[in-house]
Amino acid sequence: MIANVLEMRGVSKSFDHRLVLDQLDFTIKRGKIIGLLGRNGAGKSTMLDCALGLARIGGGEISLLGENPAALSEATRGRVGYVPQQTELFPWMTASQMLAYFKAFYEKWNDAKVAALLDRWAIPREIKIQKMSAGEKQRLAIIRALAHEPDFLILDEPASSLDPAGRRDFLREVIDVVIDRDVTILFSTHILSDLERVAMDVSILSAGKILLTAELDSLAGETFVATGSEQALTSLAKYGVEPFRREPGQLVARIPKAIQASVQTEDHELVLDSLSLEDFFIEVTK
Amino acid sequence: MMVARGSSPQMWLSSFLEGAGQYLRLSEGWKVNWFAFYWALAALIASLVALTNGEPIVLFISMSFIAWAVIGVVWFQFVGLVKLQSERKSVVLTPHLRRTMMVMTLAGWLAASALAAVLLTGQEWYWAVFGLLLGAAAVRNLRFRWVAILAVAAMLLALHIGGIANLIPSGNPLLLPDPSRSNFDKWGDLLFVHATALGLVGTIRVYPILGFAIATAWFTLPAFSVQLFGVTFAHLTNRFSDATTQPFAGCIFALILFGTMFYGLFWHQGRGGISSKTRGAGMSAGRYGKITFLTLPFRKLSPYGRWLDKVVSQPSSFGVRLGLAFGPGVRWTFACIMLPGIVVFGYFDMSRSSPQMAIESAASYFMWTALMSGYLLGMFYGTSRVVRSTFQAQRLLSLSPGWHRDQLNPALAGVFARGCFAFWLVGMLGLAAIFFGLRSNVGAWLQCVTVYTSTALLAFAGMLHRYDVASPDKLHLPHAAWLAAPVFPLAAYAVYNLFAIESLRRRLHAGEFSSAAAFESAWWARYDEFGLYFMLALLSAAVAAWRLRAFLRSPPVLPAGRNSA
Repeated sequence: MIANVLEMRGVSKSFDHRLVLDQLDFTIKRGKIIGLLGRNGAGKSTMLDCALGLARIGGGEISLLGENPAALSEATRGRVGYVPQQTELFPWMTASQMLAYFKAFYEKWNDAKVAALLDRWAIPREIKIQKMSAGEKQRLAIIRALAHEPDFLILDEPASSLDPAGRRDFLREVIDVVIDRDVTILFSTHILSDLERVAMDVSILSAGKILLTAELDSLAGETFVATGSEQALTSLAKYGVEPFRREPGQLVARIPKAIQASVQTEDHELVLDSLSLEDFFIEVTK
Repeated sequence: MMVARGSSPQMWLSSFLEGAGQYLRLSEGWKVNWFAFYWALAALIASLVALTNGEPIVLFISMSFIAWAVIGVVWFQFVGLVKLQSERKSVVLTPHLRRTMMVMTLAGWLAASALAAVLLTGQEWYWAVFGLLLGAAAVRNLRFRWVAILAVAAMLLALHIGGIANLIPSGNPLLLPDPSRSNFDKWGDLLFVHATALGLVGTIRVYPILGFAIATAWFTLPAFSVQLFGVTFAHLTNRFSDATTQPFAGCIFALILFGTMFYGLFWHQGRGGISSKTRGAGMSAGRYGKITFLTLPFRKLSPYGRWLDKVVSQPSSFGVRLGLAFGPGVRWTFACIMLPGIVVFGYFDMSRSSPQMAIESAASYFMWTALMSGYLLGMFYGTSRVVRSTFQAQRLLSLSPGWHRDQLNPALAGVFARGCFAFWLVGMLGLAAIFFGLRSNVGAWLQCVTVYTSTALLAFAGMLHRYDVASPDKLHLPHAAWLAAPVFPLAAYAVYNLFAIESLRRRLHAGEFSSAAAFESAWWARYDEFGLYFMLALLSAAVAAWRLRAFLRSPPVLPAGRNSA
């Protein structure tokens, strides 16, 4: 059994000499749900494309379920589910036709789940996809990705077109999938509340690199803006604290709970202001 | 800032400028202007030649190049933008941008057409209308379907009026090499040449739809590359009177283009780009393709079509496959192109000298205008559709087990098949018109047959590509069928020229030629056409045979474990 579902080492990718991924390292262990955060244009979709072999990389190595994504075996392709950012597929087909078409590719296909999700999410079966709303299209794309019961699910902003109720329903499905079958999920999103609802880990992509990967729970209460003299800020280094962003008199860092007391006791000049995940994300990706 | 309908000119201008700004930003620094530069350079050279020898035709060509440069800029910016839109979520077509693109596209076409018009015949209005309509058709990319419908209907009218106008001798300076052809044909040639070349280059330039480019270009390439480049080269070298120059130059350019496309089709796709991500559906349903093909006219033209639609559109693999190949576009194309055409031209052609002539003329019209309209529509419609939706679908399919890398995306195949169907329908109607016209015109008959045969083959090849992909090795077969498609029209046209040569001999014996030189000139023209098309037919056949050989030599490998839908 492969421990790491996805491994990206030193991956670079550029478009027209513009570096989008810069020596990026990233690993996902089996059974994890990782939320990938990044600003618009940070390269989230590009990173996912590279991980899936949909985009050629300029350098580095990628292993997807133990294989090179550029030459995935049929068996491995059958273990991967993907919901792209844009979900308009074959607009002239109905939902039933599209699902039947994709079903033909897979050895495994959970008809019962498909039917249940179509009903639960009220997706019209016999209406052409082009006539569907953006939310319906997105739900349909999600159903298609879940139908063959993949081991690894990659979702590129899967809930962006869904209303709050739809998002909640979708996230519940994601959780169910993980509980039922130990599926590994990587999803990019802008909606932090979604991420906080389901993700175990969070990774922040900025300037072509993964700035941080951490357990979401552990991150809570460990993200701070530290304000103080330059000397006080510099002294944080001795605790192993590395700032994500530093400005005169201020830095943004993750300070583990274990050392927070020591830091504040030792240096009274240092003021630590706790940051929410959203604030932290905004601060480190400035 | 949304600009409300009926707002002031200042607001419109402001909106336009804002859109223009977005347009420029999104088109990535005009990086595709190499194309415009290339044509502008060609225009400069041609203009210099024109100044030195003063031939109106050369001047026309030079201005034509300029027109192309304008078209190129607009077209590629436009396509690039649509492509960007499909690839990057952050690119949004705002109302300003949308309006600006419409205006720029229309302006480009208008400018291009007007330039050509002024130099050609003085019938500016006709060309302006044509340009306007083409522009409107381009706007179809933005899903303004009604504009496209209006454009097609009006284009047919404009073409007709233009065609009638050109039947009147008016000192038209446009002299295509074959003096026996009617002015109507000459205009058709001209329009066809430019429209096709535009579409051809455009499709090749837009990388992800290389397959579509080949599908459409292959059908038309030999004749048009010969005409476009052959005529151009012949005039530029001032060797117009030399009947061998045109075919020779045409061959060279045709070979270059053929080579480019072959490279794209057979080699490049193995090394990245979207083609490397295309994989076969892996469904053994060749027989369904054949059934679908055979029942096509029945489905589309009879009242039972709906019933059949219902039967085969059940959520089964058959229904899905059928739905993939033929979507709503067929009916739409038929309704917009054929029906108005029949009505309008049927009416006007009644004024011809005899019913037979009217019918023949109508058949000829169907050939030319529907082919061209269908082609243009296919280009615009297909391009936008392919770029927008297929790109995403292709990515998903490439992750599906069993999808073979050489497989044509069903979305592409669907677009392609619809275009083929339109051509096929035209061929059938043309044939019917000829037969019912009780006129034994070998040329027109051959024209119909070749169109029919080649499009049927193309459609069949499209089907094969879509359906008969149970094993990757079988992909050579659709390739072969596809590549064989032009053999028939080319060979048929070559044979037609043999008939024409024979006819010339009879006319010579009947004393119809004023001099031996006149006969010789006509004879060489026909002979060259025969040689050229025969050679191109051979070339196509050889390439097709090469793929067929690969098919026959490849081991039978069947996929296992497919989940039957």
